[in-house]
Amino acid sequence: MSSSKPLTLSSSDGEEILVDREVAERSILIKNMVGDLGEEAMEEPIPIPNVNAAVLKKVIEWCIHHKHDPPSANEDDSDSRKKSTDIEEWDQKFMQVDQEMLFEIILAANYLDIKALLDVGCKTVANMIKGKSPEEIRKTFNIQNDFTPEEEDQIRRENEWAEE
Amino acid sequence: MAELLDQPPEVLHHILLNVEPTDLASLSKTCRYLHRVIQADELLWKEIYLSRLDPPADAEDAPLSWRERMAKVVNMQKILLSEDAEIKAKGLEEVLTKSVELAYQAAASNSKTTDFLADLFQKSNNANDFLCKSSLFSLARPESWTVAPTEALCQLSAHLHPCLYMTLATIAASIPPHPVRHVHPYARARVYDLRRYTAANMWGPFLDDGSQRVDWEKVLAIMILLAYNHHIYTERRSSSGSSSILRPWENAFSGIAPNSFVSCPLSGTPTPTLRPDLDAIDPYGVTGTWMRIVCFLDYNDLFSFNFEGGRVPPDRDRDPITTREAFRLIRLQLRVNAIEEPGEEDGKNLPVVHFEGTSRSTFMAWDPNANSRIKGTVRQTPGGAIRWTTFSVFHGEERWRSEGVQVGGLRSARGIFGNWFDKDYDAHGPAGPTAFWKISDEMVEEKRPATQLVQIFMDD
Repeated sequence: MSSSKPLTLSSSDGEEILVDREVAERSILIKNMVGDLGEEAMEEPIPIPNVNAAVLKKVIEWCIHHKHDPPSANEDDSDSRKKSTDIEEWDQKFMQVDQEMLFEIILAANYLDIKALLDVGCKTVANMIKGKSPEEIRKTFNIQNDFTPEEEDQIRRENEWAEE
Repeated sequence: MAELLDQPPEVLHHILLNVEPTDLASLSKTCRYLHRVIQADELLWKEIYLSRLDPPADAEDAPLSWRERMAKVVNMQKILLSEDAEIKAKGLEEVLTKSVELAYQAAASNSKTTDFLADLFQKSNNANDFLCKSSLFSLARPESWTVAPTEALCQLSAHLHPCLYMTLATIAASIPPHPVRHVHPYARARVYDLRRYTAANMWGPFLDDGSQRVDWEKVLAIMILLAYNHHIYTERRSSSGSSSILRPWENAFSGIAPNSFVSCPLSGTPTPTLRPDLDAIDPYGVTGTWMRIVCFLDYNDLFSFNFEGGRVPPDRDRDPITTREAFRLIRLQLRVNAIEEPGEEDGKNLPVVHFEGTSRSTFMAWDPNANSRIKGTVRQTPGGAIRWTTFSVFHGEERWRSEGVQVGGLRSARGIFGNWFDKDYDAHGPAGPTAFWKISDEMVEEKRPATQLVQIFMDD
């Protein structure tokens, strides 16, 4: 595999980015595409229509850092037992981006099928929610409170178990 | 704009899976959309529950939704993590009931539930606040340990205690008072008090009301003594580098659930079982190799403790004693030889299984009391406990009897805790604590154990 030629990815805004094969294949979408279409088709740039160049470069940066990670086997046992705070240091730094970029990365990871990156992104969001009151969460994520007073009352009752 | 609310459903689901349940409650209070997504998504709650805990035993015919289930666990968690003594006192029953229930559901290996519980009980003062609420503790250190307000709560606390026993010493080592060091003289005064052996409790770890229900305070006292004596015994032997024999007790909250016993392969020449046809239908998993501990006081000490210490009112404990005890480690080979329907006095869901076998000292080849034939029965009590009765047989005659109860469910790894005594119920003793637990479904030919001419007595 490693002797294969690099791939060219074409972002939604038309930029072409050259990527090593093993880096690009952290994406299951691309990996399957290579498998399905065969080597010859890979001479052409691969369109990534949902992801712009800035985000795609960021994703590639992550894939380069993690190219030697073992494939995430048996997710039920290993991954889910980790707590949401368990994000390795390099990934934490990597995720220190504005919220717009964070959600773009998550969307790209979902589209490109890069499970480990999707996990890191989702855990980062979960950590931003941790310990916050509903009002603080609204502020953080720009959410409008659209409950009527009656609804708010009812919701407080059904969530009594989680009140401090 | 990419925002939280713009994420496609599968991505939002993935994010929510990583959010702590208490935070999910806050999140669902932010707006209608998130409220609907979070409250309605049973799959989300199921995944959240199963990512933290082992599957509940009643998952299929569930009376509770996954969200309600998780809410109960979160409630317990919050009480245990609280620093408020009043919240903890009010939550005593809830925490104890839920913890026992969860411990009985923990998977045999790689259990999430045992990790979850062990982690919570190591925090703050939880060992003292929840596990040391039975009468034995308040007897030993009334200023540090207060007894639970009701008899039922004392039983619950005492019931939870053996679920994590061996590790409690480690958990609570840094917090004075030390549960083992300070309590064993009081446990000894209970277990060796011959007044406590009555027909109503069948001379075993059962309540004194004739109901055949387990008296967890008795089980707890037995466990504390055996663990203490075992601790002294291994400390003495640690120079020779032997590993602990009490592996089934070592991990908090594990080995309690039904079927948590895992057989170890044995090396040697296998010996046949008596009735493989019966082994196949024996629900208790009798046939195989077991380890047993028997402790006793020197008979002179036992006699003077019981009959020369002056009168003590029947409802009062005798004074604590630090008199040394003898400790025997015995290997049993048990074989099922008959299975019959439950009798009138028994629980109706399980049969009565009869077994026979051999009992050999691992210390002294010549020890006349440890080397014998053994026979016995295992049955269910009307209340659902698993009751084991054994007889040590010498030259064809029964001599010692024991009554014990399985800690945990059917075929649990922790094994059986109980009392041994004279088979004719001699009111002058002797009697003492015992425990046995299975190590293997296999049996191999016994080598004559190397003769160690040591009497293992504990000094205090």
